[in-house]
Amino acid sequence: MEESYTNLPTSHLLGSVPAVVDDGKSSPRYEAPEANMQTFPPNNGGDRGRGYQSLAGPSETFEQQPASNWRGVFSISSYTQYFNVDTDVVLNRLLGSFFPTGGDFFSKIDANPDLYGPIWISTTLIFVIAAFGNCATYLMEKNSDMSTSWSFDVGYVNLAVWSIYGYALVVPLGFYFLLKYLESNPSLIGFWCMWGYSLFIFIPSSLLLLIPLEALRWIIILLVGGASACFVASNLRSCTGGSDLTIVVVAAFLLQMALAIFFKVWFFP
Amino acid sequence: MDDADLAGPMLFCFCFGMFLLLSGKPQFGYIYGVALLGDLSIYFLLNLMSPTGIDAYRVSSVLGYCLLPLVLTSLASIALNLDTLIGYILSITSIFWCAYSSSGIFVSVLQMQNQRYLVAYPVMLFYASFALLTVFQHRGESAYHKFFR
Repeated sequence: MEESYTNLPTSHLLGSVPAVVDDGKSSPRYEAPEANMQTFPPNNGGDRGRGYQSLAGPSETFEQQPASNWRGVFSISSYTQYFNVDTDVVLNRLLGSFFPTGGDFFSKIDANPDLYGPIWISTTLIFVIAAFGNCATYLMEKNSDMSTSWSFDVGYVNLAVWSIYGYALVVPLGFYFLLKYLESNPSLIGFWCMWGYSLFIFIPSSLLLLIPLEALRWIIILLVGGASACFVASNLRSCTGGSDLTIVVVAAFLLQMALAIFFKVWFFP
Repeated sequence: MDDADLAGPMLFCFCFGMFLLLSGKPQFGYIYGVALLGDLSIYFLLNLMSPTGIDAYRVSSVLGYCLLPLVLTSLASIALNLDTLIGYILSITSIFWCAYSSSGIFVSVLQMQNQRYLVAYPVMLFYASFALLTVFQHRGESAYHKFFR
C-alpha cells in the first residue's frame, strides 16, 4: 500500500483518529521496559533515583557477586548483599510460600536471595509455637478435669529454638552438599531462603491449632504440613530438574511432613 | 540526627525503672540487659539492611527517645494493674506507637523508605520485651533464690 491514509479529507474533523503509517521502521512488537519477572521490583540500572532504593543493582553484578562482595566471614559488609529487600518484596515472597504448587520460588529469588525472611520467620515461629503451645495445653486442661494445675512450661521455648533453628540451618545445608555431590548446581543462600520461607505457613496454622479438638488439630496439621512439603518439593524439583533426583525431592517432602507432625505431637499434644 | 545524645535515653530508662519500682516490679537488671542486647541487635540489623551504615550511639539514641510511650505506660502501671484487658490494649498501643516512631526516624535517617515495615518488626519485638516487663509481675523464682533458700 503506497498511499498513506494520513491525508484523508476528513482528518480535520474532531475525533478522527490519524491512521498508523506502517513504513516498516517501527518494531513489530512492543517491548516492555525491562519487565523481568525474575527480579521484583524490576530494577534496571536507571531506576535508582526514582523511588526504589535497591542497592547497587544486584542483577547486573550477579555473575561476579559471590566473589567480589565477600570480605570474609567476620565483616558485616559481606552479608549486606543478602538483606537488599524491600517490604513489598518480602510480602510477595511470603504470599508465594502459601501456594504449594507452582515451583517458581527460585526464579523469584534468583537475583536477590535474602536472609532477612528466614531469620525473622524462624524467630517468630519459635515464639509463636512456644506461646500457643502453652495456650493449647491450658485449653486442654480447662476442658478436662481441674485436678492438676497448669503452669507455663518454658521448656517449650528451649525445644522450639533447637528444633526450628536446627531444621532451618541444617536441612538446607545437607541438601546443598548432597546436590553438589550429585553434580547439580545449587545455591546455598537460595536453599536457606526457600526453606526459611517454607516455614512461614506454620505461623498462622499454629493459631488454628489452638482449637482443642484432637481430630481437627490432626486435620489442620496434615493439611498445612502437606502444603508446606509440596512447596518445598516442587521448588526443589524445579531447581534440580533432573528425573533421577526424585529421591532427593521425596526426602525433602518427607522431612517437612515430619517437622509438621513433630510440631503437633510435641507442642499441641 | 547529627547530634546523637544519650542523656535523654538515659533519663527515660531511669524513669522507666523508677516507675516500675514504684509499681512493685524492681527490674533494673532486666531493663539494662534488654536495652543493651536489643541495641546491639538493632545496630547489627540496621547495618545489614541499610545502604549506608549507622553507628551504635545514634541507634541507642533513637531507641531510647522512642521509649517514651512505654515510660508513660509504666507510669500508668503504678495506679492500675495492667494485667487486664485494658492494660493489654494500652501496652499493645504503646508498643505500636514506639515502633512506628522509631522506624520512621530510622527510615528517614538511613533512606530506607521501602523497608519501613522490615525495620519496624524487629524494633516492635524489642519494645514488646519492655512492655512485658511493665505488664507482668515477676512471680517466678530466680536461680539466686532457688540456690540460697
